[in-house]
Amino acid sequence: MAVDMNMPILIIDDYKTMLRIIRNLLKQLGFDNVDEATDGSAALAKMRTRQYGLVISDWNMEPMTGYQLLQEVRADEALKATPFIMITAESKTDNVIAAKKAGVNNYIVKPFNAATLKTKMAAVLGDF
Amino acid sequence: MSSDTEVVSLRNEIASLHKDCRDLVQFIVNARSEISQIKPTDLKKDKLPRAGKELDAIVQATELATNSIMEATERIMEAKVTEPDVVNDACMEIFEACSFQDITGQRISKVVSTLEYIEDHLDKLSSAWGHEENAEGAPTPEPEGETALLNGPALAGEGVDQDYVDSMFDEAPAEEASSDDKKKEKKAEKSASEDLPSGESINQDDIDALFN
Repeated sequence: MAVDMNMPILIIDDYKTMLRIIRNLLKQLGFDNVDEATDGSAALAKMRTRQYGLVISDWNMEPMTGYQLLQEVRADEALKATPFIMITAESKTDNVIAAKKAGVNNYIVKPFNAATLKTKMAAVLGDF
Repeated sequence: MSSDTEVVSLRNEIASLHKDCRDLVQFIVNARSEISQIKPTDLKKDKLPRAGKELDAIVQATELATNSIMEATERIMEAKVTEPDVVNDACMEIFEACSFQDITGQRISKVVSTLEYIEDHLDKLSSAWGHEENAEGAPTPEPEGETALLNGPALAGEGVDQDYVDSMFDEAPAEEASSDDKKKEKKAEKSASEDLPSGESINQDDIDALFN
């Protein structure tokens, strides 16, 4: 099935610079419908008011981390099917394994480039 | 063994023990002296907080610079150009490179946490050795000559800005400067004299292997 290029995407990072970078990279990849949040709890609140086609989240945020957000999403019947990609500087094996066990669809290590983002999105959503 | 021999042996042991105790006392005296040279109060009150502020300032400065770069890049992307693909690719590379700000910010935050840890433990060490707040050893000598002028960039609220420097050149000669100007100069001089003193990481390919 073709990827809906107008689907809403939620990006979450406590660094505004990073939100801006991801938003621009997504725009370059053809995705313009992007919402932002600066931590897991704000993201969760947004997810309960709007259905997103993809969530791209940082890990290390306060008060709710990206990992906690992922657990909340996967435990919520209405949200559990949402594709979830983690983009983080946490690059230890234990982190990746924990995220995978919690149900993350893919994992990108910072710093990353547009090609990596596109490849991982295609792996999760299908080619676009 | 005769009793005389036993007594001599015992005396030798006591003498050795006595020497060990004196050495231990001397060691403690030396250690205490060395610890007092660390000047924990000086580090805790001045140098470590200053180092933390410098690191915070680095994060803010890189964030400002990164945002300026990105704003300019966004304007370029919106502009009409003859080779849009070339421009877009170059702009993408600029955005990718700008993610350094996030990474450096996180690394610096870890260093700030380490400084706070050292500060906390110096405080405990200071208390354990009975140091009082103002009972420092010899005061740190004030830097002199050019050394006193070499302190790197000032933090926000310190030093003077370019407008003020310009005004110093536009207005009357230094010796005729107003008392308000002199106060500002002293503030600038004061600020200029403050001394500054589980698991393995894996790469993207390894992570990809976990998802394939």
